[in-house]
Amino acid sequence: MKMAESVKKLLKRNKPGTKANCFRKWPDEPFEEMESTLAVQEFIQQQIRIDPSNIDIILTPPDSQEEGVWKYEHLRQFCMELNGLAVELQAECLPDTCSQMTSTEQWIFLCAAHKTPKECPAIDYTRHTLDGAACLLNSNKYFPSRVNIKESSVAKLGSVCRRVYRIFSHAYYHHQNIYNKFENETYLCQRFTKFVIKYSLMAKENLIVPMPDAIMQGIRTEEDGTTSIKEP
Amino acid sequence: MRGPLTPFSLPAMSLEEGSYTGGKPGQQQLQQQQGGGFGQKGDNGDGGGVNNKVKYTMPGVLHFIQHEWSNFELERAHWEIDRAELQARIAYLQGERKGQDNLKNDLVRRIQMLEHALRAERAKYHKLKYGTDISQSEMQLPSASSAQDEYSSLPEGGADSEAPLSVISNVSWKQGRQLLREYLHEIGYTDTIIDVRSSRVRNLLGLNNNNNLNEIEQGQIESSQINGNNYNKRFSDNQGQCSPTKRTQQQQQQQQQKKLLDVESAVMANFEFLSEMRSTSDSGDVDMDDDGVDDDDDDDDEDDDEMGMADDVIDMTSICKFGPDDVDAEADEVVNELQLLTEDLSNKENEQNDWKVSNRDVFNKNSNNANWIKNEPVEMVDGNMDLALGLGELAQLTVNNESETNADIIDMKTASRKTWNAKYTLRSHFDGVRALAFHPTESILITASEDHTMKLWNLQKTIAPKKSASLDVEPLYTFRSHTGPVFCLAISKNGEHCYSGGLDNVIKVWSMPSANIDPYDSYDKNILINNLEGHEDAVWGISVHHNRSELLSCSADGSVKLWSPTNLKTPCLSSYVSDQDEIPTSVDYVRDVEGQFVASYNSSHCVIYDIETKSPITRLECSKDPTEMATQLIHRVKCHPTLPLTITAHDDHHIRFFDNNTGKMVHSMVAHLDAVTSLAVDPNGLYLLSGSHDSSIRIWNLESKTCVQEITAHRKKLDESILDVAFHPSEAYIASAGADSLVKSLSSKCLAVELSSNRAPMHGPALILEVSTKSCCELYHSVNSKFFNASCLASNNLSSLVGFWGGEAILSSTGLTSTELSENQLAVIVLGDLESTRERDLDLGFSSSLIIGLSIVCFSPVSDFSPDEVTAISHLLSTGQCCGISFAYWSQDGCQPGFETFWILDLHLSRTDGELKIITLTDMATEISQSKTICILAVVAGCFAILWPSLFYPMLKGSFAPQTHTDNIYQERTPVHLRASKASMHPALMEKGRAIPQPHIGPRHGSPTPHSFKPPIPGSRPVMGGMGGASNKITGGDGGSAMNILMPMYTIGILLFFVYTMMKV
Repeated sequence: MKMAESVKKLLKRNKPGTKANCFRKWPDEPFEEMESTLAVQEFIQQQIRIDPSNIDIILTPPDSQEEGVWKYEHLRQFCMELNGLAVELQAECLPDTCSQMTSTEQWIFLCAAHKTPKECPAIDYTRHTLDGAACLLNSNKYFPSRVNIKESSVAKLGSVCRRVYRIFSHAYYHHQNIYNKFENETYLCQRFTKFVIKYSLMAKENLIVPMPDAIMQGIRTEEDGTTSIKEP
Repeated sequence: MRGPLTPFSLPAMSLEEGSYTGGKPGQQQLQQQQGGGFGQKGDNGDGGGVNNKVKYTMPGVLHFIQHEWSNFELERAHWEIDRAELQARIAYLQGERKGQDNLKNDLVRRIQMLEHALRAERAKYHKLKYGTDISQSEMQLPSASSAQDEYSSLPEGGADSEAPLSVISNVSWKQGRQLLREYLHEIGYTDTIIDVRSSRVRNLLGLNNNNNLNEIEQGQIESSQINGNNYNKRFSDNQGQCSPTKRTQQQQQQQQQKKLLDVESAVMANFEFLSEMRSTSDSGDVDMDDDGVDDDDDDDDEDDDEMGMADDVIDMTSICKFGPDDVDAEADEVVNELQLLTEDLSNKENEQNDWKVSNRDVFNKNSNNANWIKNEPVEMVDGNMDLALGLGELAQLTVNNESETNADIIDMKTASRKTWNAKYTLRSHFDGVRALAFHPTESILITASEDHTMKLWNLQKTIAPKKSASLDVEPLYTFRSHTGPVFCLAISKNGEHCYSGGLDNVIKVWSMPSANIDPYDSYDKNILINNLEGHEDAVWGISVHHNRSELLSCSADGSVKLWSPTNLKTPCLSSYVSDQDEIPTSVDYVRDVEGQFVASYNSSHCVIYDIETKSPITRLECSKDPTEMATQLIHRVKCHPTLPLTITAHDDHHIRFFDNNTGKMVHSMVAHLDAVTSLAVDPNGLYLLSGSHDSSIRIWNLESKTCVQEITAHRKKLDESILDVAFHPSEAYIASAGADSLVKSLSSKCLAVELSSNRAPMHGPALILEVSTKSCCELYHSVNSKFFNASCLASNNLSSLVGFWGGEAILSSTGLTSTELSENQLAVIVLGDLESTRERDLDLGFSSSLIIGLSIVCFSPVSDFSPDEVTAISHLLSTGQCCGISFAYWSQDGCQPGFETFWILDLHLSRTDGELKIITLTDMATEISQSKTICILAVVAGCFAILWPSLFYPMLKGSFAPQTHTDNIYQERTPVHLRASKASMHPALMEKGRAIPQPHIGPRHGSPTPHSFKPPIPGSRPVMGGMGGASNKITGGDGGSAMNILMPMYTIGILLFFVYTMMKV
């Protein structure tokens, strides 16, 4: 169906009626041949489709790819895939059980989506963070184009990463079964960790979800202290 | 005496019976005869029984004779009546013929006139072009005369006329038409005259039609009667007794022959005239003849495919084409009329033959009648079909005409008339947006994306633009529950639920969040009401119906399922699987008929199912050729909201239209440069919106099938571009969803929607969609379709308000009185231009009990209304149960961004106990003057502010220079170091600093901006023309150069002006 055998040039389309197992099953295409303006996103999605566990390949930009756009598109992809984790968490992470956004006992995270940062329940924090990230990453002000990204806007990516990472850490420390299941399917946290390390978007001491050494490349600093409130 | 009396009383009784019951003279006489015979027999028998000898008593004989006499008298009276009837009919037909003759003469004259003009024009043109006089017409003559021969021989010989016609190119046809139009206008044939004429022609045509049918029907009835009687032995035995029948038959025959001759001669004359015309006129006219000839050709099978529409569709199109006003349409009509006549002729010939046969040999009547039975229905069918074909062709022709003329007009005017303008870009999805759905009443949009989420947007809750020009809308709510891309979306008709389906095989039922929900509210689990599980593969389509609670879905598992969305236990009601086709690609309820839905399959067929019986009703097939079918995958199927019409969007760039009743393709058009992915029909059924992978959305006029507007909306991701489009069911929004994860929302400058939804008193929103702010002539062509649509809505008993556009609509709407708008139907009449209606009678001819709300939109200032006009309107309202009226007015120059574009004058009239009370009457004039005063004050203040720093301030304070306040003023100026270097220059010349952006002050909320009163800034010339936007009269602040000299004068001038205006105000 979708393969559109009769068409000479294969069109990468999901036509209505496409079966789930044929969805987005296109032959791979090198980045150079991707013509559309959204080639970076296409390329990232293609690499993930090929093998989600092969993080290094996924995070390797094609030659001559500008780094800002690369980071931006990756972060979009992370936020998008994190929706999946949020869906899982919605079922289990209830305001009664997780009334605060915590990971380790060290920090209580305040939700930055509100006018005055607020102590939202974990699930609200998750949703609000993702919604806020979606708004920021799609903001006409900071990211008017997906082809060129201003240097000043690239700086925003770090804060998005920092907040989004807390979803991983909350899931890991409070809903480990969900986290494991999700991670086994998507390798998302591993990819994310690798990503932020590679592009120095987060301080290493904040990466509190245990990772295989290959990802973390060794060092992880444990920080001790009493529980305190951390500003967003 | 008892004995002898009985024989006579018996026939008398039967006679009377005969005279009363037997409608036909023949029958009557037959019965009389029969009765007589019986009476005699009985007489004999009786006589034999009682008294062997028959006694003829004098009174008995006299009685009998008297009876006979009275019988004959009775019969004669009958015949007289018959004769009178027939004579009346003859007179009627003659009158009709005369009317048509007149019409024909009229047309001939007109065409001759045109011809003449054309010839003159052509000669002129030729002369201009080649510098010589023409020999062209002479050149043309031989061929034309040969054509003439051909044509004149046509009625008898039926010569094939195809050959000479194919030569004519389309271009010259169009040119000719354009010329004709122009000439018509030149000689003063305005559109309305033509319209009226054409409607008259149509009336005649309609009458003709009816007569024709009546006759045919009569013939049929008679034939069946005769046929039925045929088996009656007595009838066939007593041939001689049939004389009255025969007589009437003869009479009819004579009459028909006469009529035939007339008709024939008329047709001949017409043909002669047409061929004459052909000989002299240009190719356009020839083509017209051609059409006539084509029409004339009864056995023209080529048209069958095109004509495969059901009768009602044809009727509708023919109604729809009521609008076209060009001469060609009319000419076509005339040609068609001729065709009808000839048809008439041929039918009658057939009939006549049969009549003859039946008359000539009554003994063989049995067999002949058998022929009748066999032949006649077939002929009838043929005749009807021809009729239908003729009409259909006519419809097609005129539709084409209209489309062409429309196209012309659009070509000329569209540049200035863009109905839909991009309003918002909705950016929040991370991946391609697959589906869109509008809330039925509020301006809420829900989008479904491949990023596994759906988002809810309130298009009225915008975030004020800070830097960028485009408004930002942020999603109010994000629906998260799908574990895969979401493909389809629908909102229930009451707006309480929405449904979504996607790759994860589940259809989710959501309750609709409030329109004013806080985007960062806490999570409520109950928003997800139900999961409809049952599909085994991706769900690709969902459809809801406006008065059914059930939900239809189609899935890649090959089934279409019907769900009860709120049933938690067993939501799936039934499943429909086609045995011939594989996978459904899209599904939609059939809107004009209850209990049906249409599903498109990846075999490129559509099937209409009955929901209850689960059986396929109609199969819509576009092609038999399997190789073609492969490329014709249907991306989307949609049903017309009111007509039995299914529209399909195909992979091969086509949009196809199918008739639901016959299953035949009605129309097919190449609509886009790439696969057409999505369709939406506007709630009135007038416009079609299509989106395609070629990145554009197009708006089509459904009636003429022409593209009204094209908007390039999205970028491509992979090879996909636009994935869905939608019309708002009640407001003037459309939206498109793209693979580039954007949603674009467009709105039309639709004043009337606001107007009617806010102002139409008491009765909810009106369905008015297409609005141009300016010219109502542009909408002229669509008026009749609106009109038609109104009747459509009315017949469907929708309690919607319907808008009519343009001054012309008033004329047309006079036809829309009691018949089409039934009780409880509401109407909003929007008069496009009261200026033009002023000359006309404001009595709209409505039986005014039907009018409940009346809105008047006009282009002339309301203050210009004379009291008489207001009285006229209120009189109109007072005669009925009309309970409200509203006016809207906006400036002649149309909308300006940032401006309040119109002022509404409320004039609420309420009717209580037959009395009109004006509740509120906001007077336009005083309001304007108030706002004017404010404007003037503001401008004067601004002028002072301008003058202050450069003139007065230095004068007063000498060289005193205060500290700068640059931080407080948002203004672009040259940097300090540049300024320093040019310190010698006058401040006014030093820079052309950009003024503070014009404050957007409408007349209503005009208020001076605080900037105007800021302390002066040395070194920079402050704001100029601060209030300039509000008033045209004041064009102050133009003193950039030579300020030293001009300023004092300028100031004095302003002061004078100020005093003057204050005096005046």
